[in-house]
Amino acid sequence: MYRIALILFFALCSLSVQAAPQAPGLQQRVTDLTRTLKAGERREIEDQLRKLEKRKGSQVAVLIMPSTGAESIESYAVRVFEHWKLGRQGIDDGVLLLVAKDDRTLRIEVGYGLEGAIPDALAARIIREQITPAFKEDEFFSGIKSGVTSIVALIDGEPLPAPWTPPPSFLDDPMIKLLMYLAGALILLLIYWLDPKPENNSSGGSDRDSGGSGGSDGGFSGGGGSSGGGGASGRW
Amino acid sequence: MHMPRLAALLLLGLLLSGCGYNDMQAADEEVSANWSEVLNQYQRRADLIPNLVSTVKGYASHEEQVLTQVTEARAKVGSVQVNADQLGDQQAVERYQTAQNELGSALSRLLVVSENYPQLKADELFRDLQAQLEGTENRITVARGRYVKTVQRYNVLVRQFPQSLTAKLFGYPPKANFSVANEAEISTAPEIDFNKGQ
Repeated sequence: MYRIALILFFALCSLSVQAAPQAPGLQQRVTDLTRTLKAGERREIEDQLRKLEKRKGSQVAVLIMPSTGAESIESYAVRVFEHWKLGRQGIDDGVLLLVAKDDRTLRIEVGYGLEGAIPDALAARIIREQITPAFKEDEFFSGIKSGVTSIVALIDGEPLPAPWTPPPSFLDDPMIKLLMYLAGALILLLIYWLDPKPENNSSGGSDRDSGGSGGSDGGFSGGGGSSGGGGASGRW
Repeated sequence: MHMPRLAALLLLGLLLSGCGYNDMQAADEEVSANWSEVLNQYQRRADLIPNLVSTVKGYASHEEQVLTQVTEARAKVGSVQVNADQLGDQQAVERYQTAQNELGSALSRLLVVSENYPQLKADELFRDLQAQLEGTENRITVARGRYVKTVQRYNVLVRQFPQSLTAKLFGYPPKANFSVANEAEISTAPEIDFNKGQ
């Protein structure tokens, strides 16, 4: 009789989250369901996080998804954290960086054990100074990398690095710009000289990799940690 | 002739209590633990308020009404306490919940008013306090959600037959749950009319 009630109870619970997407399974440190990051970019962040776990034992994971549906990002992040159990059991040193790309919201969910190293105010500051300025410029990899570096720095016991600024592109240099224009003009002249009729060529494919090219760490799984809803959210 | 029947009844009683009692004990402990977590997070929110009030006062000293309301609501919350062993009393829990909801409303009003002071919004300390407040509100929500789950499990255990007999025998009454009656009302920020006299 108790079992039937329990089944009914769980059924009721599942009803209450009808509009929310399923929390995805945990297979790797960086899960990108939107194909925003290139394979190399994903690997770079995964490397950084793997080294952190080796160094300190803390488990930081990144999840990029299109939308959290009707559910708030806070509630969704807690559910994912409960499902993935980031961080070591009893120590609870896990952090989840969740980006809902189409909703334009993000959240840093901090496990119980790291609430001293990453208090809410600092999590909010990371979002405000490191991540959203980059996201506003559509620099997703740069923003996530910056945010992850700050989180890692706090876990390592260091102060926060300087706020994010767009990296200076070498194309911004006026001399380089002049050279580019001259080179472009020369090439056009050359083309007209060789063949008066210009040709159209199709652009090559992108080098975006469909995720799942397993890294060298052979799978990643949560350590049994939990979170109490600490951290900060933001939007851009 | 009585003895076998009596023995059978005793055995049945023992079996029943064995079946239900341990589960009830465990569920009761879980409920207490989760209630403590709820109390902690509400306390954390109350602790943030003095700093918040003084920071806002530094920029918006004319907003006396809103500031006073927050301070009064906080004082009221301090006077309504519910320990884990009082959870059988639905009225007490409702009183506690009402007091906390009033504090929540007063805080919402304060934050709405702060929107009109750009210098206040840019103040680093205010920003940090706001982040902490939002974090605490989220923690409260998570703690309440977990409490509600454990209370439901406990109440199901305690009300079902045959465990209900064990429950009555050993003093495990159903425990209070959080009501969500007018939560929608409370969570929407009220309109502030600046034309009303101070």
